Amino acid sequence: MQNFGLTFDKYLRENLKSLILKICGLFAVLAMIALWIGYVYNTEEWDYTSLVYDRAHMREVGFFSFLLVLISMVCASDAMSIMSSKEKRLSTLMTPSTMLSKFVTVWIVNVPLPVAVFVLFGYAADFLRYLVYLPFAHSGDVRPISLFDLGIPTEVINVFFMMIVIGQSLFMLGGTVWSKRPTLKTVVALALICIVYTMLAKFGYILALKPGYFWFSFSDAEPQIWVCWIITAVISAGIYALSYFRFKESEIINRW
Amino acid sequence: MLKVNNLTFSYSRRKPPVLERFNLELAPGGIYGLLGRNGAGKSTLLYLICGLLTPKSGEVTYNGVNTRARRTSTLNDIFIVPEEFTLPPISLKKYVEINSRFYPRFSQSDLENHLAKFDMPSDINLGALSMGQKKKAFMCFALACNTSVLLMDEPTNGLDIPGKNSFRSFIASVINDERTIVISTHQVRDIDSILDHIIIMDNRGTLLNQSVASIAENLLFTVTDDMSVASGALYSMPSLGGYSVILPSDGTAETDINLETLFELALSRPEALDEIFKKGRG
Repeated sequence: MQNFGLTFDKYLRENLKSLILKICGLFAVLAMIALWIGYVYNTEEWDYTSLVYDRAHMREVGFFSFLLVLISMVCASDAMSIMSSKEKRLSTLMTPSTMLSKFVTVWIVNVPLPVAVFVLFGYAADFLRYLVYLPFAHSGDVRPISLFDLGIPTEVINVFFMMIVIGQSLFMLGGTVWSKRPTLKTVVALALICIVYTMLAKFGYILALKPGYFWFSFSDAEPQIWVCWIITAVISAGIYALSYFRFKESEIINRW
Repeated sequence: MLKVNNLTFSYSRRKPPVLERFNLELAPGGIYGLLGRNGAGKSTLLYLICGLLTPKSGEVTYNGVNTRARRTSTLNDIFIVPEEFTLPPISLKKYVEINSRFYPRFSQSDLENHLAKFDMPSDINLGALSMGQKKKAFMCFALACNTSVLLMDEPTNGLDIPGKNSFRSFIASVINDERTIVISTHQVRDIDSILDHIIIMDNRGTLLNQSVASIAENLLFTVTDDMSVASGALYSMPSLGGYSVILPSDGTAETDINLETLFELALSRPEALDEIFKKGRG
């Protein structure tokens, strides 16, 4: 545990400037988007008596969701940037700590942390919009997004975050395979896999699939959310395990 | 004790091995000069010793532990200074504070002494240094970690002339009975005065692996303009004063070792060298 603490501290402190820069850049982008949406939707007169939500909310949620997907995938891909050159690989591999400590360190900083920071800054940017446009709008026209009610069904939010969790694991695996331009290469690889899968499924060549069906169906009943989360966790844990073993077996010179 | 046992390594299945059934033992308490042609596998051997590459067969053990396992206890006792490296753009003070905790025998006073030898202040930003200055700072840190094994790949590349002098003096000052320093280089004149063991290698193995004392005892290095002496020598090559030659020593006098001619002899007539040292042992 002490070894992990030292490794985590080393990674954070050696990359502090770039991390702060990224965090500030993220907040700036989110704030700009929120203020722009506020300018478009919160400065014109509108009868809010029939609306439950601020009109800006849905636009923000749309933009922020797209950005969250983009940033979380790029960050997950970037986790293995510590192995992107011979010099960086040497520095990483020769640090006297376990490979697991090194892996968990980059995982924490590049996988859950960006999502958490994004969500936090998303609310902060929205609150900034609320504060800025409050003096200009009619009473009740501008409202901050509620933490517990985004105006979207819970199932949709859950499925969205499940996709993010699996997507991040796939992009991190991509980062262990391709040290240069991992995001782009992972997108291409996933697109190819999807095309092949769709073609196979279309013609019914996949076991347990009828022609024209694109997904396995074990039951007609809607699965419980918690079951879906367990399946998501197991799949992503399997992919992370694969990433870890690839990382563990890394060498200073990429031979293959 | 660092042991290289029957090591075979290849960068690609289609290419011939860089090292084939390579064996070597490095005892503590010496400065080893690792010499070889370009592509002989010197840097590869250093990476294999650290566990940075996986051999096709064979192993490198340090105190009985396979270094490829990359155990923390091995990594904090072996330090490599590669030819090219990156340092984070932070102050040296912060770098030391972050990284020294991984090395149990790190000494701050040693670091300050080494920096002083290179005329470097301790309040420097690593991001603002030239390559040569970065190398000096990194070598000072490497030595201050007091690891039992220190591997250096072309350490004098990029150093200025005073830097090379300081390098020799500070390497000579840190050696002790428990420490092994391996210096791989082509710049033999930069290090010839500090070595106490010379290893000349090619892909198949070591062509020469002898202490400087043993070499000086068994071989005579001289310059002659007498053609008959040159033609009868173990090795001769034209030089400014006539011919630089290597002769078998008669035991009456010891001469300074000329590493360049010794290197050429080891590459061209390894069997003759082998014979001489066998006789010497006999």
